[in-house]
Amino acid sequence: MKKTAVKFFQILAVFSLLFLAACSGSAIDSSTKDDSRVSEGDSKDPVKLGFILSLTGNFASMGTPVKEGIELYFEENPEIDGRKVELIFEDDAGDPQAALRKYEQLTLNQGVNIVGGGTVGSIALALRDKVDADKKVPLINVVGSTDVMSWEKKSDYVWRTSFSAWQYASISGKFTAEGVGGNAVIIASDYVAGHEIVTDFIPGFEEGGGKVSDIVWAPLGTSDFSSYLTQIDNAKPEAVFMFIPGADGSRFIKQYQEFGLQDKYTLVEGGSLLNAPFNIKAVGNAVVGGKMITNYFPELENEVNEKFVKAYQAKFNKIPDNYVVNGYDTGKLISQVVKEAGSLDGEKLVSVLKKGLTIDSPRGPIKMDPVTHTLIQNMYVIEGKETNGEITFELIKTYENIEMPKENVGYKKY
Amino acid sequence: MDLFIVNTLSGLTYGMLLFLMASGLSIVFGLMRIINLSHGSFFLFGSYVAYAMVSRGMNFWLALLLSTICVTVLALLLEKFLISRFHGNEASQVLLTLGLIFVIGDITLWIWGGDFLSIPVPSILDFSFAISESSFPIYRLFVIAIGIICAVLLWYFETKTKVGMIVRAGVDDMEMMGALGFNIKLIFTAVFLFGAALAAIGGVLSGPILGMYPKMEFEILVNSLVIVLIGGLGSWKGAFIGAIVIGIIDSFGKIYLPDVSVLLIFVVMVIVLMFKPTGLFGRVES
Repeated sequence: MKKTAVKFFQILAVFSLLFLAACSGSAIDSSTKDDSRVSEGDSKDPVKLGFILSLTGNFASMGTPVKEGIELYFEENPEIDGRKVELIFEDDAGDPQAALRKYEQLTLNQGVNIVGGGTVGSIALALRDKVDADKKVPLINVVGSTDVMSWEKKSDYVWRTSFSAWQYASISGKFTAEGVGGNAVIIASDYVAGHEIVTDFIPGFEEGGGKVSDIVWAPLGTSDFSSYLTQIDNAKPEAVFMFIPGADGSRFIKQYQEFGLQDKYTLVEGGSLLNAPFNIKAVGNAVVGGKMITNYFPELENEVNEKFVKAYQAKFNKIPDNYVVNGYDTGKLISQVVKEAGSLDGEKLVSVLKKGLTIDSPRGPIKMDPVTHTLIQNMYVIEGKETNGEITFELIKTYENIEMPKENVGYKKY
Repeated sequence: MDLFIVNTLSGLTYGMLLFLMASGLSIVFGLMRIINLSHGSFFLFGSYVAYAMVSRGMNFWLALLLSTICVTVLALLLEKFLISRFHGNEASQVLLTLGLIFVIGDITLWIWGGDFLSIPVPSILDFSFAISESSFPIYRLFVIAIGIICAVLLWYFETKTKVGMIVRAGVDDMEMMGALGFNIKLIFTAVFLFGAALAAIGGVLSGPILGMYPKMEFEILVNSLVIVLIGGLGSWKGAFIGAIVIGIIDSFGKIYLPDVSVLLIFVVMVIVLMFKPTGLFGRVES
């Protein structure tokens, strides 16, 4: 009797284990619908904008600030050219399939004029294929950074207001070689974006005379990095280049400090993860001395940004990060495109985009490149500082007007 | 050589955190025949409560004590009002505790949000010591020490005290203990709370190392269940050995077999169960 009971429990335990293992990896959050609508006007047709963002699940920390940026822009500018703006937000919970369903819903049932979204690369690519096949509404890609969106996967109907992996990583490589040292260890998360960043980083770094002594791939969801840290310590590099998104990245930096590496090797981060307010809160002074490559940081000095930071702080009571700016610029771009096209017809909107628009963004002046469909923008190198217990970022170098290569550069894949 | 030492110590640190979690899981199973999946929530809740206190300026050690008490109270409520209702009905208990882990996870998400949080290392332990050319944080050494101290206390408690004797006897024959006039319900509750307290301590101690984030309870629960299965259900000694094995394998696997490091602990589990289906220290009762 006892023996069978123990057996039964072992089997039960193994099953629960398998179940939990399956659960813990995927996003199990139920998706909550978040619709906020502005009432319709009657002078002209309202502009209906549908956004598909990851508002719950693993990527919520990216999708939510984008939404806030969009809301802020259209609260400041509730009308485009006399047309009321109607915003519809849909949550894809980080799942490309859900994003496609939401897309159908938005275009067929709601009849939106422009779609925005693609919080991560996989979702951006899934939406891109659908939008390109339909050729009905333009898609403004808000975060997805995968390079092919500018090259093989370029579509007349898809434009991005964020940045590409190449823009970050090649500048990171260039800067690391010029400004930190010629010997680097790379640590990156072992998934698509991680490999893309490393592939783009190495050529830029080697051109500057750098040499990569080791590449460490850490699985997504790594909680204890100590083994990797000893591996880095053993290689004794001058620079450590990291691309580890989300909570993993925060943990890595904490442990980097804990193991005393912060004072030994300069940390370079390319992915603009560290200057996000929630990350600073979590890692505290572990970012001090770290160099980050970013397309936006809140301390940036220009008139648009000062106004933007104030408005954002007044509305949300926190400091904006680059995702908020992506959302804000998406609003600005859409509004300019609609104004110039004078129509909500997909084809007319696309023809305006193809002319190339210049926008005054909080990140400085940006220009939509009609060839690569990605913004030509500045890349900033910033360094974490601590003054009176407050963590701030100081600009140490600006790389101006970074333009995507017109065609796939064909780097060796890592 | 220093690489070897540092990795062994890191492995032990992670192992000891897992041990604090797995030992409670195992003891509670041993006595009550419950696989309490919500045990992971105790770990999670403990670290979040400690974070809430430390971030408001409370001393780390006081926060450790208070959050352990908070979790024990939570465990008491769960045991009294929910889990005990289903005593003897194992499948319901597993489903109930599985449900609880989601509920508690959602509550913590609602209170503290989904951002990554972490507890600062207490200042008294916030330095590293050198191992030839590498260095190792003192705090992690402290975690290893706590794990070992807990193991020694468990051993003392189990073999040298009367309460330990009663619990041991209860594991072997519950009905007889009841017939002999011992208050089984009280013993159950006490052991359940003790296990929860251990998990809470593990959770708080992990705060400065692993940080807190949604779904961490699943991560830690999966590893703990592996440890419990390797060590043998119901045996804290098994959990101790299992935790050390898993910690070391995790640490070295990441360096020498990076591509399969995630799978490695499951491979070890399968191998152990193939040769010893009851786990290393599991007893087969007649």
